Amino acid sequence: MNPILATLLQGFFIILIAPFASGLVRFCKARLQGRKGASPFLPYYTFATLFKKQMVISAATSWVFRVVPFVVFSTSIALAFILPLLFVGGKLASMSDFLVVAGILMIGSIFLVLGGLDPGSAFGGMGSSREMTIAALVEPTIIMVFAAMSFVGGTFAIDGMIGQQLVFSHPYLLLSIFAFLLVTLAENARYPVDNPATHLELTMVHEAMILEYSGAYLAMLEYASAIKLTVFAILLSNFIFPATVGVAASLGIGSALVAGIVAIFIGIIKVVIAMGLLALLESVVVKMRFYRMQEYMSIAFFTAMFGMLIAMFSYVIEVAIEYHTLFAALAVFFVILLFGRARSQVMLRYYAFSSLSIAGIAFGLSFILGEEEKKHLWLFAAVTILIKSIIIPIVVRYAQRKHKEFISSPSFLRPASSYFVAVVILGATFFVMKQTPIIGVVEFDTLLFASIALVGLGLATMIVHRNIFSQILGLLIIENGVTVFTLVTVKSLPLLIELGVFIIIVASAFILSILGSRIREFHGSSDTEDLRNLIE
Amino acid sequence: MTIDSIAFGFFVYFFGLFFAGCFALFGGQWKKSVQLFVLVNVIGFITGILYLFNFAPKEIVLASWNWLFDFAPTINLLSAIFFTVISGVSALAGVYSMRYLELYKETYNPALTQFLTVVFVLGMQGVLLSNNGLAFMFFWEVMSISSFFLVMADKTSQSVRAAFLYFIMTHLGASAILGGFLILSGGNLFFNFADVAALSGNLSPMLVVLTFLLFLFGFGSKAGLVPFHVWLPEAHPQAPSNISALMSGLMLKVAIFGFIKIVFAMTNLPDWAGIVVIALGLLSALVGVLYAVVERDMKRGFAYSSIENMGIIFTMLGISIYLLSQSSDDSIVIISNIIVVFAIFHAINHALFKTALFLSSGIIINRFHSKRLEVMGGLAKIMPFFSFAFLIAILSASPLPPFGTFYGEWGLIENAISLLSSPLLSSVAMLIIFGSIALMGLIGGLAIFAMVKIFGISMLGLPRTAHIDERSEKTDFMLSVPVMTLGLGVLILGIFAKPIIGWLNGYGNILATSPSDESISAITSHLSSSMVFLILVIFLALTYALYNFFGKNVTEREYKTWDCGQSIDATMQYSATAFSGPIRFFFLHLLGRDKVLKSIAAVESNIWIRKYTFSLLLKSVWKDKLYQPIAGILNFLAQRVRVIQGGRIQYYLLFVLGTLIVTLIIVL
Repeated sequence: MNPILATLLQGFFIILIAPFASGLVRFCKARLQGRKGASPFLPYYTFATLFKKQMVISAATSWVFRVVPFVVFSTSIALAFILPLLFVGGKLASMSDFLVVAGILMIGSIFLVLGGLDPGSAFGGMGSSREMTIAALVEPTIIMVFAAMSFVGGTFAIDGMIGQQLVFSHPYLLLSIFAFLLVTLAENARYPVDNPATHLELTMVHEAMILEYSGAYLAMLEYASAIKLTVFAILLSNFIFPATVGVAASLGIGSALVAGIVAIFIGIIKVVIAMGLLALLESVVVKMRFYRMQEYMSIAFFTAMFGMLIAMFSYVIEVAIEYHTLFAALAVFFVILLFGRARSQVMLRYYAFSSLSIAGIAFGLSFILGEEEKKHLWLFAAVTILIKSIIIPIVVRYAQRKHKEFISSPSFLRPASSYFVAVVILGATFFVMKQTPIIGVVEFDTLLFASIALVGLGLATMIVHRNIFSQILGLLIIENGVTVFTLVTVKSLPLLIELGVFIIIVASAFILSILGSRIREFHGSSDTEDLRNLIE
Repeated sequence: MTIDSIAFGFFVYFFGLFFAGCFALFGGQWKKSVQLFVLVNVIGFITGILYLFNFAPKEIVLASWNWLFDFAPTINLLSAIFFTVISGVSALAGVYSMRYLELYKETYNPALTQFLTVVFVLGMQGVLLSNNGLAFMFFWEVMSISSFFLVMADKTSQSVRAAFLYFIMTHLGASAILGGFLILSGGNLFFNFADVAALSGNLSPMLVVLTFLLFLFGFGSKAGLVPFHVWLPEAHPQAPSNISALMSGLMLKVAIFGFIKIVFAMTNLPDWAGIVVIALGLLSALVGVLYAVVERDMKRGFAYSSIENMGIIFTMLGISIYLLSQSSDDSIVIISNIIVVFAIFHAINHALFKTALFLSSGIIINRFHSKRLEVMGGLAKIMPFFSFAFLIAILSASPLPPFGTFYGEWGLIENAISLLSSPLLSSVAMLIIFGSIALMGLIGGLAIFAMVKIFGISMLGLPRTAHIDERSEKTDFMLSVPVMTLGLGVLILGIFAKPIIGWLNGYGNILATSPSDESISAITSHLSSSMVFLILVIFLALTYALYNFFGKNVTEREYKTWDCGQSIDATMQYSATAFSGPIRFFFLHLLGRDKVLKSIAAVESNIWIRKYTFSLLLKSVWKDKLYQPIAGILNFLAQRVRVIQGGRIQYYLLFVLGTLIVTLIIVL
């Protein structure tokens, strides 16, 4: 399969399958909603029909309006030919430098924005303004995601990144891939950023910009959007399963044919699965209000940044990331997510996940340590899951049951600033650890970092949130941090002490929740701002 | 091609400028002056190119006038690069001013403006060629004072105020540079720039720090580094558009030139010097781009965009300085040098596209008779060729492939990522470089937002005012052609980015004055810049071919924009304020604004019919929190000192006598 042929095959495959992909998403969504749904092959007919229709061009437009569909379509097909979708090492592989790819995406977005502004309608202006905001705010995330991958892989071309199969040996790159998933949803105008199915002002970004286009131009713009969706879906699946990508080496005719057919077959499977999952996601997730986009972008950016920081960290301290490190990072990560949320049910859920990750730490440590430690650690993990992930949330919910309205504990900070403060706390922890000479005395540096970070974040939760119940949660998080600390230093406690500690935790959580609930009944509010004065 | 012919070219250049100035001042024949100006700049451009191809980086002394303050104009690689850029851009700006000064005959005195322009360009080129401190300061002052008069060319009170602010800031900067020179040379202003390395080695560490800070303030305030930038958004919009273009495109580069020439030659800078430059650079880039996004005055938006680009350049220079102070290992020095090369490449691109943008703004403002974006719109239908040129200029101002601006940012990010995997850096250095990568992504995205907003609101849609000047585009083609040329220049720089950067880097250190034997190349990427351009063109052509194949029978008809049955007019379009609304909302804590929404009942019988008044004022947080208090303190002190001006001549004479006696006591 020589490189030129591979690139051409890949490009034409993407161009041909794109309408099927966008039709398949609609079909799967319809089935999930209990409808029969139109055939997934309908978009082919739609595009053919659109080309036959007469175009209506507004008198307010200029030549820019006519240039837009061509530029947008050509950037989409450029992506289809350049990126490593079916084959790695195609003819244009050296062009898949991630900044060039980001730039090509941006050119497409810019011209779409100009096409929305040209007809001089308020709809188009609104869509253009929103789309440009999203494109501008997604750019740092794209750069951070690929910076992490190129830092780990040593190559700037996306072709090289996929060719090296980085994800298996570097599990923290899963964070970068998650951030890339969020970027994919934003760039392709999917939930929760944009709704491609409605024409309501509330939910339009992409649709608003192409509102004035009709006939052949509309076909080109929608086709370009479908191609972009297919490209991103296959690229994402290539990042997660890099082994499924073919290599474009020079082969004989027979094996080249076989390689080509296998690649096309794998491509079709990837498209079908990706579109099915996308339809599932769109049916489960709600479209976010546009002015909450900063939260979405912050989450994407900080996840990507987290991935990059862990990559740099592991390089500097030359520690291979093992399971327990991964779980420690997850534990801290869930607490950071908890930090920015307001609803108590969501916070309890994240706390449960964080405790689950701590059980995972114990589990991971059990692979490294000796036999008698293993039993203790497994018992510890099992009891942690039972008590912290299951019983404590039940206990706290039971204590709050008298108040059916959901307990919302707003914080003094907005979500984006909370994430920022959390990252600052992590950085401060890192610097404090670098200064004190504890490093080298204990074996597991990353766990020590995680435990101190958990204590710090728990304290910050108690300070920053305004609700009494969040004080309880902060205490529980601090206790989690202390648990990880004991795991690091002592590696496993005698059984009796462990059980005693767990019973105390459950009891204190129960008592504090009842107390909090009583305070709420008595004073009428659980907001600490209202509880500053004594009542007669 | 001998050295003599190069020297001859430079002499012709300077004498030609002198005569052009004479034409403008004495004869009042500004048209001949402009033509001579253009011709002379073309000669200068050709001379510079010939030097760069044949003699670089050898330093050539063009003349040696020991009797005139030891002034010996010398040309080396760094000066030649900027000299060529300034000549080329000035030639195009001259072509533009032929028609522009004619259009604005009433507002600006054309002869005087042209004379001052010639003096301004003379000053800039003189700074590039000067070999000792005195000549540098002399030409720097010529540049500053002529631009001061140019800023108040239209004599309105607003421009006089802006010119006054500019005058204060530029002289504070010049005195800082002068102070730096005096400390560096120990009091002797005639020191040669070749001795800077030796001189800085002799200074005590405290003095080195002081000198560095003085130079940072002096060159930074001229280049528009935050927090010394407040004059830039005030002064650049008030000047005539061709002058704004020269000031923003060229004068800022002269400041960069001075910074590179002097600070990079100093040998024992403290460790934190690079960090300070990086911090100020990133701050400028962020502040500049945020204000550019929310600004509703077109020229102010472009001025803030200049601040942003200067911030990016200073970030790159700061990283280079920091790397050089961290380790002298070969691999680090190579990366440090190539980052400086990318910074200069970005500076050249910025000179071209910023000039193009300001020249375009002159055309647009001429049509709409206002600088506000809120009254613009729909110019693409009236001036299609100009709008195409403006589109090329706007795209070249954004970091997009295949334009040259993209490669500056590309170089920064890719070199930063390679630096992160170098084992020689401390963790503090790694965190700083990581932070700059994170911020550069955000800054690039927002810069594109600002540029697209300005193009979209001014060119597309319908005009939001009735006072639009609808004369045909053909009368103004001399205004549009320079814009097109500059935009295509950035495109060509982008297509040939790899060879140009490879060639610039081949000399090792950018301050090298002799050819080096090893040609070290630090670019390890296989990206070919011309291939990027070719690929995009091929796919565009392919799309066009596909459309012609599939859409042979496509017909169209014209109708009005879809309006739900209720007719819409131009004021219902999105305005510039609305377009940048989401960014203003998301970054509210970093920007200052006053929003007032008043509603009063309009009809007595029904309180639900209300009249709404809305006003949105953008405040500059730097101006309010930093400059106003300082200005207030200065005013207060000045008021106190005024007491000694009683009005009696006898007291003044006694005062002068007293000062003289004290000075003599100190000196003797």
